[in-house]
Amino acid sequence: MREQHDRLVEQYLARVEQATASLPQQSRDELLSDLREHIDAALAESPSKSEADVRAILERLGDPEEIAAAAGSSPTGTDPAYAPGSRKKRVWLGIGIVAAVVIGIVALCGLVFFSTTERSALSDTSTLERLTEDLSAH
Amino acid sequence: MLALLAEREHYGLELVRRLSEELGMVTSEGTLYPLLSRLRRAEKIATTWRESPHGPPRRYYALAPAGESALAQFRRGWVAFRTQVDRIMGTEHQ
Repeated sequence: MREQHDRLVEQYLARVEQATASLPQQSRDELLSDLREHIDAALAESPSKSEADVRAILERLGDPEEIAAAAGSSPTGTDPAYAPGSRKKRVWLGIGIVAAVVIGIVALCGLVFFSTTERSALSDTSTLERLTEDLSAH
Repeated sequence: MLALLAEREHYGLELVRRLSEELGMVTSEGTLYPLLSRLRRAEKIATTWRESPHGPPRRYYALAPAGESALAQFRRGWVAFRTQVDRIMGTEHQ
């Protein structure tokens, strides 16, 4: 029973250790001892100390990869979205999108501005025409 | 986290549980430990080991002077931000 608990906890901590391979040794040791302390304290407080309790405690602690990411460890997975090169590319893509939106807004404003001035210019000419007509009539 | 520690000191499990339960935070509890480490390294919180009535000794976290001023600064910033948003959204009296 106890052995099974230890095995689950050790497996979990080993996964955290693996996920935090890129962290400095000190931060890694600190994180692992914090997590171990958390698990020990939670188990000490759990009334039945069953295997389900151990699983629930580990479940609540969360995914080792997620904890590693929070600790600033670069992912060990091969997800290309996290590679440094593509990260740079994504930044540029972001800048590109923002630039396109800004240009679009400026173009739209320009269009609205010119169409209104054109219309007012037109109405100006018609007033002018009316005026000259009035004048010539007199 | 600093606000909870301003109330009183907590041990790791207790602090992490309070954050995830009371605040309804969806994040996994384990991700809060790296944050605690950073606050400790920035000397915003201080830690002491203490014996526990049941189980192994526990590391207690308390607010350090730098943490108190960081919390005060955050509170001011938060009130200013909240007021601005309330004004924009028309939710001042809700």
